[in-house]
Amino acid sequence: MWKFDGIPASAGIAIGQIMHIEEAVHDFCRVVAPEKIAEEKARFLKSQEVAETELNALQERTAQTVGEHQAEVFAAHKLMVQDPSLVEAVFEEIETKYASAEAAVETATGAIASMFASLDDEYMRERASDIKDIGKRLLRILQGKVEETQYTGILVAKDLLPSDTASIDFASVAGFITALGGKTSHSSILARAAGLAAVVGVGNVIEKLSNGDMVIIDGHKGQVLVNPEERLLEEYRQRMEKEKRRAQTLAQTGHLPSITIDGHHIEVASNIGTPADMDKIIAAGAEGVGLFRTEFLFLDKVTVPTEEEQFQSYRSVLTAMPDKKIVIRTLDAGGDKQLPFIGGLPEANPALGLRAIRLCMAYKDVFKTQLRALLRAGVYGKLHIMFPMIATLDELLSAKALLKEVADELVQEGIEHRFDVPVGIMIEVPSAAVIADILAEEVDFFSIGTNDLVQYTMAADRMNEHVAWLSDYFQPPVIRLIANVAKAAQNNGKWVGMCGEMAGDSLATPLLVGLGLTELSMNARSVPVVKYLTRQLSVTQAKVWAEEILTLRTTADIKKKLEEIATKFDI
Amino acid sequence: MELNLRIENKAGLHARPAALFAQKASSFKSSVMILKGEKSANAKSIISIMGLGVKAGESILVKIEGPDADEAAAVLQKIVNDKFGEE
Repeated sequence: MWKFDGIPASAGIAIGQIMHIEEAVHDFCRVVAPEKIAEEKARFLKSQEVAETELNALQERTAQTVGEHQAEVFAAHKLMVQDPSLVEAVFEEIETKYASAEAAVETATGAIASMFASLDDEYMRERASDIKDIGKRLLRILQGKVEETQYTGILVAKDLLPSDTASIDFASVAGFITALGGKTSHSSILARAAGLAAVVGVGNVIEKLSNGDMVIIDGHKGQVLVNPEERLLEEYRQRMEKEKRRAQTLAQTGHLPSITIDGHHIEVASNIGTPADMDKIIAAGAEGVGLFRTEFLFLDKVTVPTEEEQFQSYRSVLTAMPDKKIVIRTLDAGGDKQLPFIGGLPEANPALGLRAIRLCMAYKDVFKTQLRALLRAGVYGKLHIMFPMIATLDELLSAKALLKEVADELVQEGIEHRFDVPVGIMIEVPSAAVIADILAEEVDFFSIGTNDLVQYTMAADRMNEHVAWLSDYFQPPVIRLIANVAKAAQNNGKWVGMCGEMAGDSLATPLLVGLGLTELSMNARSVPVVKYLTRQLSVTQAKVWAEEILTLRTTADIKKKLEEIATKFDI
Repeated sequence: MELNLRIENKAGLHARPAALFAQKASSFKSSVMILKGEKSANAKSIISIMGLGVKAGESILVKIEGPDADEAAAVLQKIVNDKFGEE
């Protein structure tokens, strides 16, 4: 047995036999006699027609088996096949260099792919693979070959292009390995959507794999085991079975309430970005919305969205879950999310600049319009308003005063609204976590935003890979701040939740519940797992663990302890 | 006939917006060129447009010449103003 590593592109385990996806052959006649120019041009035009027919069929089949959205890529391919620039480039090769249709297609698509690959935009660079895909298709057609559709087992290819993945019947494939590609390449996205294990970016090692070799793909670790011993095969077969059972259990139990074995309800809610996300989170079993980011209403706009426009959005979220808590965060713009209608001066340090509540208080008209829309929508459900980036008591008091002002105006104007909407703040600035006892007297709830809290506490930009080891929510100072916030809330009889990435990490769940958090808001994807774990927890036991974790001195110790705790549960 | 257009949709002239622009441009007899900085593109070609790498917030100059230039200008201006129907 031997093994190799790659990028874990799609989780899961797959066991099966290797099958290479054959590349188009490149030894064809490259130059033709001058009198054949017309013939080669006609051959190219014919291959263009066949490609269009194939792409139409592919688009239709993908729409049915995978989804409309995934099928759109073939509509784009069709346009590229017909594109005047491509035709021009191919004809020029044929006319001036007496290239064969094959050679002309190879040169022309190669040149276009390099042009895309040189653009300073990751999305556009990825389009190079679309052009290569078209080139491969045309070459194969020119060589008179039909599309292979009988793929089974573990597929191996240099790169799985959209056409390849679409011509695969996923039901008969276990997983795939590619030499190129990353987590966000087309094939990786498709693998995740289809629930196939995949390891990508493994390099030239694929040349050492022969058709028929037995392999295990560990999509969690990004590892491939080639011709493993029976003992290992058996071990992985059991893991595969276990994962399958777990997925079934999670799907079946997603809608059960998340009540601990000692009877405490931990609300497992979801974060959303637009009202359209509601269907997804309801299907996942979320028990409310712990964070509705309202930026989508503002970021693409040239002008401020109207009160009516905002009111409609907020109301549609509230009416989708009328009996559940919906926490709507007021505008968190500025910093890396600039608003076109505000403009503003470039800042040397945007993360520490005029953003979120600071920006809103500087542009009171914009803020008041949002608050009016919120209070009006409040009559349709259990609205909670949350202010982002609060750092001082004064900020909180002035934001609350403005909300009061808006409510008074609505009363005067005789407009229907809810005046007693609970008001909370997001705890993401360390200063707020430190004075949580003071702030707790003035709010109805806290919600901890771990992403910014970690960045500001550790003074480490979370996008900077060179300081990535600091950007960890299991750092002892972060855990202590969370504990301080939770204690302050409890002492004042207020609830405390979390809406950062940590809330969706099941490794952290026992700790957070033990610290006294009663609401966890996360991506829809994490909801079933966290609920499943919560139903096995006891708050009394979790408190003991949390006490112990607060005494640990390093991130590594904390993670070790949490991993040890995790083994006590079926997750 | 020249048009100065600012691309305001979130994705810039990515695949779908570029495809729409090329399709509309191709429906006219006039020749349509896009200029951005030192690069130029045939606006009837999605590949050519995408090669410009136009991002959100950037401006392009569109040159239209031919019998139906006015009509083409109006249509192209509209799809850019409508942000390619993205919202």
